[in-house]
Amino acid sequence: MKKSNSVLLALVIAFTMTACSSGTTVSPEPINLTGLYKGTFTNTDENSTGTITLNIAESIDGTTVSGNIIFESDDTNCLSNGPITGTISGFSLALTADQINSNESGSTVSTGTLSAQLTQSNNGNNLDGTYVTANTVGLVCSNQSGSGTMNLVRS
Amino acid sequence: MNKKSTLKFGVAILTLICAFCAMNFALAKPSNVPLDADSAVIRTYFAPLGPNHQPSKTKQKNFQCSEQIFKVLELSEYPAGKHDLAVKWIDPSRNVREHTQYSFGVSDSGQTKLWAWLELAPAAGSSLIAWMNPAAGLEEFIGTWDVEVKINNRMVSKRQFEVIC
Repeated sequence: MKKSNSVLLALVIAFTMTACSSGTTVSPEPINLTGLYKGTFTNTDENSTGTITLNIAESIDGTTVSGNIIFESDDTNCLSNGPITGTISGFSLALTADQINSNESGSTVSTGTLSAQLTQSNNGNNLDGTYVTANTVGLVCSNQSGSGTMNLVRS
Repeated sequence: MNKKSTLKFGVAILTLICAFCAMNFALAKPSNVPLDADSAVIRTYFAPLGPNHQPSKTKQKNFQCSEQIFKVLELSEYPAGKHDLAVKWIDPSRNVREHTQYSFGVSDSGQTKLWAWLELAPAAGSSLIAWMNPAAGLEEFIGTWDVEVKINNRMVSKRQFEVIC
């Protein structure tokens, strides 16, 4: 009997709380992207993986970013320290990186461009999306050809 | 037809051709002219959550209370540069529940995809009776919502969606 009374009391309290309070809504806005992001990429063409470091600064008007991107592939590291530029459209970020890779003697061994389409989530702490490379010349290795996914976390 | 008539006829034809070319030249839109927001193409729709925290490409007008509701804008032939987006979410009681505002950039391509999203949370205590009524604490959200979208303070879309719990 005591147990059923407790259940009834809990229900009454729940109904009262529900009746006396109102629901809430959330509609977040994009967060400033300036920061250092670290994460991983997976090249879907070759099923290879590696790490990425993305260092970007958002412009004062909040419409563009600039910075650099560092790829460290588990295989040959083709793309490194590429300067990037990008356009911010709300929660999405379109990045372009011009990649020029040199060998130890300073000669250019590979070039190409990389385009990434990322989306911010989790209050701007995550950047996830896809990338595709183009106009690659020189070495063909995991992150220099094809396309893949990127998942980054603000550090 | 004598020589004089032939010459007159030739001049008349030449004049017509020149006039036609001039008209075409005047009507043609030079590629280096900046794009105008008036002539931009704006496609808007509602969608549920898709992969990579992005809105799905599938349009949807009816939503469950637990779903994220995305208002998507696809702009093309839009002027490059900085613009301001404002989205008003008006609930079934005609109250403005949320006002999403942010600036966005458009590159020289003139194309971009933007979105704002809304999430509904039930009233406190409703989880205890949710097993009896899944819509508990969400009653005020059930019905027709209006969403008004302005870019640079100019109305570009006014559409409705339904919340059905």
